[in-house]
Amino acid sequence: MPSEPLLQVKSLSKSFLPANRPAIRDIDLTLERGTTLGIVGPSGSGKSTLARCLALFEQPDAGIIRFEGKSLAHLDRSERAQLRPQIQLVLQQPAAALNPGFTAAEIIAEPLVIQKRATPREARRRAAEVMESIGLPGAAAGRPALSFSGGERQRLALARALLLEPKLLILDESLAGLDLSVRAQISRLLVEAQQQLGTAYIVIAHDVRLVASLTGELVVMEAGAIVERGATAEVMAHPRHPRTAQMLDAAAKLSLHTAKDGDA
Amino acid sequence: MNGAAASQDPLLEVRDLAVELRGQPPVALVSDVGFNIAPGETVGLFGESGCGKTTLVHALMQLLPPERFTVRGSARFCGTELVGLRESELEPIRGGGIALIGQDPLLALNPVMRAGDQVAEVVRAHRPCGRREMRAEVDALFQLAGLGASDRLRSAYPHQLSGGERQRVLIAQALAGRPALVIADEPFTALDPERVVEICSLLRWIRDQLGTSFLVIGHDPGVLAHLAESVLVMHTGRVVERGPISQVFGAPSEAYTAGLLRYAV
Repeated sequence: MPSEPLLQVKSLSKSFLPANRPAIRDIDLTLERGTTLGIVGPSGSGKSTLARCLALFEQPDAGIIRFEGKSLAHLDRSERAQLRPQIQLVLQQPAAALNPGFTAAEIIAEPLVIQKRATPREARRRAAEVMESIGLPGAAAGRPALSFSGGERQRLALARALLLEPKLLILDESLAGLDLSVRAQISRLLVEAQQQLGTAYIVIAHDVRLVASLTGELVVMEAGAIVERGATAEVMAHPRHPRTAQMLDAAAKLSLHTAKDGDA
Repeated sequence: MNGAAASQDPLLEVRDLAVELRGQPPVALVSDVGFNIAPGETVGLFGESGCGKTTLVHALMQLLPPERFTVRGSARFCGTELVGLRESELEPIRGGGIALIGQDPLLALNPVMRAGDQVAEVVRAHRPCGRREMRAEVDALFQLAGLGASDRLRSAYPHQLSGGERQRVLIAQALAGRPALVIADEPFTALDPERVVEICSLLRWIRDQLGTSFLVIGHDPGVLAHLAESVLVMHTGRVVERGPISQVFGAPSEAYTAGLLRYAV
């Protein structure tokens, strides 16, 4: 049913032992195909737990996640396996997610081979093509993963995720800690991929400055709950929740383009 | 650098500093770097990954293994030439004159040692003292770093602390030797903006209380503009532009700086 939103989350909660304090509670979200949602909030507000639940890495305690109308809770093994490539997660530290024994081409090609979408040979050829498209010379395809810089590794991780043409890509702090020019390059890559493939993005960051320009809608999290949501421009201009206002105030102090109001 | 305090003798005076990676041929990592830091001044060092910021700092602290690196030029701290200084003479300067705060507080802290003991360990390295005196000193350093007098924080292991608290423990350690200069290498990368603003206020307060100078390395111009009075822009191992923050970030004279700032948020 194409009229259904890509992702619908209702009353999602998850706690971890031993604290048993909910990491996320009563989360409601809707995401349409081909759109971008930003999730911001301080460290420990539950952003990554939410991402991991959506990417099928955690089993929520309560609530419903519907992907294209189908609840993720009632999938059998083969349905789950089919769904996995459609929801991809890219983390902050790509180095931790890249096999150090693999070359760049092997890293990008592996999911295609696992998903039996290409022979190893065909997959490596496509990997070399993709590398060109993300601004890494095809000649670098044979270099080991860890010989690349932080920004290059992040682009490899992104290329690997996008090559599966997922319907949903979740970026958990994937833009943090990068040089300005690298961040701009990756943002451009994301926008282009969305235009070509219609991928929907969830972009998670503790720094609203990194996601504001990418996202149409913004959700603010605090202590496991959503405290504010709306169109990004509207939330940025007229925050309603005091926590959002505090967060934006700090971000404005660290922004080069806002007038400085002296010391904090 | 050239701030209001420039009339005083500089605390740190760097001239023609160069670092090469030994080999055939040698690779130049840092070239022709010169700058001053005055007492109580906060200087930002801005540049992209791989431009030589961290290598420069490690060269100042004489932390580069001589079998792999050649350091030339001069770096005078309180009149003492650091380049080529013997290990035994460097010891009181490291931590006691210049303290270094690294990028990743989780990596810099011992995971199986309580925060209070880790601060005490640094105090002991600088000034051996009795238990009661040590207790008072650690208390004072926790207060100074904005960690308050709470026993919870003192007896916590690093994994039980938040990112902001861990960064403050590193600041307490850095201040243990009463350094005149604190070098902070990307101290904010893992922190959310509210914590960054808090830590910036803390560093300014420490500067006002103790007259400490800071050299803060970063790749986020907004954060440096919030904290520092002047800035050095580094590119491929050289300082390509320098001056007051408002001038360099407001109206950069170098195409390189202007190009980078186009992407600033």
